[in-house]
Amino acid sequence: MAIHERVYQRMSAPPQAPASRPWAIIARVVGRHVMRSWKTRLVMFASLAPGLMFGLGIYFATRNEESLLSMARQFALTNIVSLEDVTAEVWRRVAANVLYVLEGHVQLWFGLILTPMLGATLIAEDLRTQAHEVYMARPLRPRDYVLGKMAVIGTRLLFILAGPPLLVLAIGNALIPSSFLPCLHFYPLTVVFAGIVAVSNAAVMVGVSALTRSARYATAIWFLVYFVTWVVSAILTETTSNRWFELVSWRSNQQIILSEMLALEPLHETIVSMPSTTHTVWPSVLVLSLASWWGWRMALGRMKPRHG
Amino acid sequence: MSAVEPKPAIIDVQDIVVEYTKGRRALDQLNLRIGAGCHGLLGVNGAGKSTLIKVLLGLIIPQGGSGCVLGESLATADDRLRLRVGYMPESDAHLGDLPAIEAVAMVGELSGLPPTEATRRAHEVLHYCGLGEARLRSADGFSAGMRQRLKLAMALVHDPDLLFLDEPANALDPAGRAHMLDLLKDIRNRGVSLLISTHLLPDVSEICDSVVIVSRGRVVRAGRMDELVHGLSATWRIRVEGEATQFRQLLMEQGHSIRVDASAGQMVVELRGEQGTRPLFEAAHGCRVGIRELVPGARSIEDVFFETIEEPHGDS
Repeated sequence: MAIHERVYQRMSAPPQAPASRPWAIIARVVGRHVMRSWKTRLVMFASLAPGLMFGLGIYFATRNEESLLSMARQFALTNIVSLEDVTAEVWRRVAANVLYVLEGHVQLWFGLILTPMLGATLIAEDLRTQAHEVYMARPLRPRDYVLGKMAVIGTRLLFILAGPPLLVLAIGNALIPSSFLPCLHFYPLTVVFAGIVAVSNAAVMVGVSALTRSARYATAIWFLVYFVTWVVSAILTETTSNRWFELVSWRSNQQIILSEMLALEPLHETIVSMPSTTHTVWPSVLVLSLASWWGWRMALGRMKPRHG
Repeated sequence: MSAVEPKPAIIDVQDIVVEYTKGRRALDQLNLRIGAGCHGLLGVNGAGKSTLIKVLLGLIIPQGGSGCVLGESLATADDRLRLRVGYMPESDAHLGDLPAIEAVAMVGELSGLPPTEATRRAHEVLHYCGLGEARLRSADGFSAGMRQRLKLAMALVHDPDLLFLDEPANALDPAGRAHMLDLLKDIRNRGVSLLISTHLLPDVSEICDSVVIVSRGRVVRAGRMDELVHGLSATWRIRVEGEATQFRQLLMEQGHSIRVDASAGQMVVELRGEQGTRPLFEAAHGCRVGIRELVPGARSIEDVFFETIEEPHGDS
C-alpha cells in the first residue's frame, strides 16, 4: 500500500521505552537539520582549509632539506646543521608548535564562529515557542534534552578542532617517519583538547541560549563575553605584568590548557602569541569547568518541571 | 467538587495545590475524577485549565495533592505515563524549522517508537491530519491551521490512550475549525480519550461527552453534557390554565425569575437554587391554576458555563 494511501490506525500495543537514548535521538535529528544551513556548511568546510594548507606546507618543507632544517632549528632552539642532528625531541617540539598554532589559534577561531551558529537557537527558540513542553511531555529527562542539544554543538566542534590537526600530524608523520614515535602521544592529546573545548563551548552556549530566550541576544552575548574577556585580560596582563590575569580570558584559558598538554616551551621567535607557562593548567581547567557548569545548570534549570 | 463517573477513572486527582506566587493559587485543592471519553475543560482565562493539564503531564509539580492518570501515579510514573499520553500545547511549539515529517518522527522516536516505525507513523498521522502535501516543508511557513494540525500529529504519532489538547481550535478560521473538530471526533471514535481545554463553548457541545468547569483553581461543576444542559436544568417552560398573573406573582415573590414567551404561549421560569419542579406545583396549587405543559427549558453549554462561573463557590 502506498504511503499516501495509509490511514492512521491505532497500534496493537503501546510503545515501549525508546531503543536509543533520547539525547542521541535529539542530537541526530537536530544535528542533521542544522547542517542543512549553507552558512554552517561553509564555515565547516572553510575550517578544513588551514589543515590542508599546513599539510601542504609540511609537504613542501620535506621536499627541501634546508627548509626542514630551518623549521627544526626554529622550534628546537638548537644549532642543527644536518638532518642527522635532528633528534626525537626536536621532532616533538616541532610538532607541538605546529599543533599549537593550528589548534590553539586558527581552529579556535572557527570554533568561536561556529559555536553560536550551531547553538544560539537551539534552546532559545524552543523556549520562545514553548516547544520544550513538547519534548518534556515525552519520556525523557531534562538532562537528556540539554545533553542532546549540547551534542549537536559539541560533535561538530570536535570535528573542526581535532580533524585538521590530526590530518596535519598524520601528513607530517607520513613524510617524516622518524617523527612518528615522538609524536604518537599528540594524537590522543589533540582529541582530548578538542573535546575540552567542544564540551565547554557547547555547555556555555546552551546556557546562554537558555538564559536569553533569543538567538540574537545569545549570539551577541557569546561574542561579547569572548572579546571583552580577551581584551580585559590582555590589558590587565600588559599593564600589571601579572600573568594570572590571563585567566580572565576564555580564549587564553583554552590556550593555556593546550600549551600545557603539548608541553610547549616558549620560542625566541613566534608567529603567534604564547600563553604564560608560569602557572599550572589547573586554574584554567577550573575556570572552564565553572563556566561549563553554569551553562549546564542554566539550561537544565529551564527544562526541569516547575514547582507550583 | 468532582465528577463521579461509573467508568474506571482515567484521571483521578485529589487536593491538587499549585501556587505560583505566595497567596495566589493557580489550583486550589482541586479534585477531579473522570472516566474514558471526550471531556471539555472549561474556565475563564487564569482559571487553571492549562496548569491542570501541565500537572497531569508532570510539567508542573504541585505543592500538594496526589492522584493518577491512566492508573499511573503522578508522583512516580512520569515515563510510563508519558508513553501513553499525548499533549498538544496552546503555544506555537514547532520544533525549530524542522520539516514536519522529521519533527513528528522525532517525537515518535522519543516516545518509544523504533526509527522506521516512527517515520512510517509520522507519514500516516500527517496525512491523517491533512498535512500530507506539506509534510516535507518546515513549520516556519505553515499557516495557523497547519501548525495546529502539526501539533496534533505530534501528539498523536505514538498512539496515546489519552490526549491533552490545549485550545486546539484557537486562531482557526471556520473551515479550519470544522476540520479540526472532525479530526477530534474521529480520534474520539477510535477510542482515544480526550481532555480538551478551550474557550470555544460550541466546540465543547459538538464533540464532548462531559464537561469540567474550573474556576479559581477548583472544579466547580462537572458532569455529562446532557445532564448539565437538560437533566439538572432549573429552567422550565410551562403553560398554565387559570389565573396566570397570580401564579406568576407568587413565583416572583419567592425569588424565581419568569418571563413570558408570548409567541409560544408559555412562561419561562428559572427556579432559583432549586432542583426539580416542586415549587411550580406548589405555586400552582396555591393559586388554583392547572399546569398543562411542563418541559425543561433548553439550555446551552454557554448558559451552564456562565451560570457556574457567576455563582459564588466559596468552599464548594
